[in-house]
Amino acid sequence: MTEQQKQNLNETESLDQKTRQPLSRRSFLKIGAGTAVSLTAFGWALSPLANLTEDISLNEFLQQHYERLTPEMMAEIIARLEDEIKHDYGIDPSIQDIKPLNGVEYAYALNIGRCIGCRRCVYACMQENNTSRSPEIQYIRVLELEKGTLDLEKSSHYYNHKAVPQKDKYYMPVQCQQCEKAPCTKACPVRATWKEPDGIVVVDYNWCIGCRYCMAACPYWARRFNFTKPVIPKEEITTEMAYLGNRIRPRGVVEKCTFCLGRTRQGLYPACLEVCPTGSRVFGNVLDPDSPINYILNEKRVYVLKEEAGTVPRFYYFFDK
Amino acid sequence: MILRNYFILLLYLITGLCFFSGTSGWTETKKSEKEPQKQLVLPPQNWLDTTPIRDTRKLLLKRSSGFVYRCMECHKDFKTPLESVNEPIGEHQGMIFDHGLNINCLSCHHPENRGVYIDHDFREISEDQSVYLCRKCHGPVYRDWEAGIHGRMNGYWDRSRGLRTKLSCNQCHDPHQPAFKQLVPMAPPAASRLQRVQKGSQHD
Amino acid sequence: MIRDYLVFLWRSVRLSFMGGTKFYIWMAFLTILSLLGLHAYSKQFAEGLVLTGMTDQVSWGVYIANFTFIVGLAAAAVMLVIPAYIYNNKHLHDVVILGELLAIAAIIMCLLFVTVDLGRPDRFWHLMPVVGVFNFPISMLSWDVIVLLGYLILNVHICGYLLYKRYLNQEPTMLFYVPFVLIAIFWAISIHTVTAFLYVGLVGRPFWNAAIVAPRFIGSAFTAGPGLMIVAFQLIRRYTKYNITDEALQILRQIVTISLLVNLFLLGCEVFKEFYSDSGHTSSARYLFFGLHGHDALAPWIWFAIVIEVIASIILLIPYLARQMWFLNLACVLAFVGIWIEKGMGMVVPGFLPTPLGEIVEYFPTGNETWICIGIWAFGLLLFSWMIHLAVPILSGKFYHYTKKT
Repeated sequence: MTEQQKQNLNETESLDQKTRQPLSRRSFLKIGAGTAVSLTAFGWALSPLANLTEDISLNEFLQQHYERLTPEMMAEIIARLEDEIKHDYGIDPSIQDIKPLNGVEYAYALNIGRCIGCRRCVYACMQENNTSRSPEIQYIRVLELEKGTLDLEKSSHYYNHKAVPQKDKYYMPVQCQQCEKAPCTKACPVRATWKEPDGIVVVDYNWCIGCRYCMAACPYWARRFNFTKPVIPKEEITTEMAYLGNRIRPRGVVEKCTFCLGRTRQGLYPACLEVCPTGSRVFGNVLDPDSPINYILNEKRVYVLKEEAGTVPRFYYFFDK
Repeated sequence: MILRNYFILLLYLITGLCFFSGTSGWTETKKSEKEPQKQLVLPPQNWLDTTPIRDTRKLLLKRSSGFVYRCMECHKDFKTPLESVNEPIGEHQGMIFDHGLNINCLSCHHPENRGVYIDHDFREISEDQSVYLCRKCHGPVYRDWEAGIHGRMNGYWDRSRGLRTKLSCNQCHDPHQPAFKQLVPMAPPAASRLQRVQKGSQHD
Repeated sequence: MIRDYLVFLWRSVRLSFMGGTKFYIWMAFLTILSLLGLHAYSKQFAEGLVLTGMTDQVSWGVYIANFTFIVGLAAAAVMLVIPAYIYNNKHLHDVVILGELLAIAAIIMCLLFVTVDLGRPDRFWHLMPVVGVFNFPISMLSWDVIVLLGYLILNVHICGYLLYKRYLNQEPTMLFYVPFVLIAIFWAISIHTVTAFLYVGLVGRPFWNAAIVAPRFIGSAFTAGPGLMIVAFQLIRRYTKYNITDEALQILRQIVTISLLVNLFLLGCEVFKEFYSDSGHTSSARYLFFGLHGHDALAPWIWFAIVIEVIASIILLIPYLARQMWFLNLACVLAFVGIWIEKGMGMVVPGFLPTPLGEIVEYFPTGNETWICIGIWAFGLLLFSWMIHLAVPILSGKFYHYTKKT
């Protein structure tokens, strides 16, 4: 053995011996000092947590998945949520858990011959669904395309002309397609998003863990994430809210268009349709053979986006001009 | 060793080539047209307002120098030749006529009775049935309107719970210039909050 | 027996804090970096993911990029198991445990990267079956949770058992570790394949929706992992005087060489498919390699990665160079960095751009995000160094139970 090796052997052997001996006062003091220093450093590292503006109550932490809630639990949860929203935003909300209607499955059609790209649907949606204004979340994205191509890569999202429609362009708003075979519902590891019996794909905002796998999975870029707590001016908040729909979301969860289920499950039209000045949007119950939406599906030249993806959307585009 | 040094030099060269050969777009400061300064635009405050665009009750009355009178008060005396075309003469000055190929007043207005519109074989169409006039020529749109897919809709999709508005043609379209004017679009989406200024892109 | 184990744990705790000056400096440095990362994460926890550079368009960034890369390291760390156990190579037995310790540290880094990426980490319990809702077997992320945790438990058991038995100077019972080791071989492939399937199964992202992604992952993992181990083992050899034979390093070198060539071949296949067919589905590849519509932030990185990987493969293919430690180490470092770029940002970000609606919004990590990444890497290294600091004395017989010898 070389001198170096002997020395190393002694070194490690002495370490081994050292671990057998009882703690000396000196090492005790060293441990004390070390602990104090590391606790201070740890405390400093965690200090930004003092700025945590939202306190997560125990009830919220323990809240179960939507599909496991009894009506009593739901009533408690709604009361708590209404309190929180009142406290955070200064308005008096009324949240309802609106169940799907029987014998109803929704479909939505949009006449891209008539859409003029005015974006009123985008902002009506923001107001109805209480989406964050800063950072801005918009469920609907209107694409301006050159006539003659459907290549979305050539589309313009940020057009800001003085007037629309522009000649030789056509407009195609895109929102959640509420796919029958939705890739997002397959992706979610906690089943925080699922398809309801009336066809709407919903998100339980109190169950979502914010992993954003569903956002990666969506072929239509329909889902949005709350990177921070939503900021909404008080006077623009819609106070009639639905639990699975337009209630104000917490931070760190995914949200998207829900076909305004708070309105449509009570028989009303979605906000985007109501505000459309050209009447390009048509909505209804596809199970009703006399509904306007069935008229479109039977009579018009209808297509869907990315049909080859096999998602079977409920949102159709048609043109008659 | 010499070989070692050559390798190090080669690595520096490659790093330099890759990163500094002019593809560092994010250092440019030319502002792209893509990000207009975004003002927070409120949506239309009364987007649930279902009032039709055009109030058609005034159509039967004509104001001129302060007087209001019905069409027949002039036209029972002034006969219009059947082949006359739209001309803004007399009381009709100031009107704009832009209905495409339909340039004959009497395509729509009854020559004998100006209070009604004209159907095939000189039959009369009253004001409250004005859609029958438009459907004479605009068949496909009329069929769509009948089915409920043309025109602005407000109210309930579920007829068992409530009503849905169904406007007649001239409640939205001005019959003399039916094409809509262009609208000012609402603001584009806000640019991503961390969007660095990029070189100008191909579109937008 | 329990008492002996508790004594072992206590002595290990004491041994953790004993070492030379270099040891203290190294661990203090890593601890400081970890605390800085923790500080940055606390800020993110308080304010939300708005402190990162992620957007709705690019909703996964450096966190998931690093996660993807490190899962590969964890998988490859078990590669030594095959020659050691299946082919009964005596030189490798003691090195296998070090590889598995690397796997443990890597898996913990992966779990940390996923946790910092979550929007609601406080809702972690939602993933648990029975109390939460575990969307197995439909969601690939649920598969990922199972395989990663299973792999962690496997390796902790194997290493813990073998080290403790060595500490007691007893022969380990074959039944308690050999089946687990064999399972670990298949499990290692599965963790990385499942991670690949996370991406492959998404029909809306044509850049990822290709069968070649899973083989590319395995190929790149088995290059970066053994490459790291070659360098790490030399450092261990130098600083702890633990005897790792050159034979072990040469076997690792062979693994790295073959895997790197396979990786480059698969990359070539991918490049051909994208650019020859030239369809609308190739926009992401175009964005990555050449930039698209004026956005080309990633192009220099991917070219750099490819070039250094090619250089590494050339070094490894020339026997004169590959046998010299300096060049071997250089090749390993180059391959490691190249694959980190190519598989990390070079795979995650182009999958998102152009978005399914054709938009390009480039992604740049923020300072806070970068500090969190540095913190987690430092913590992983800290864990690995700590485990080596305990394992090496045990394996070389210097740290033993008191009944061993006088």
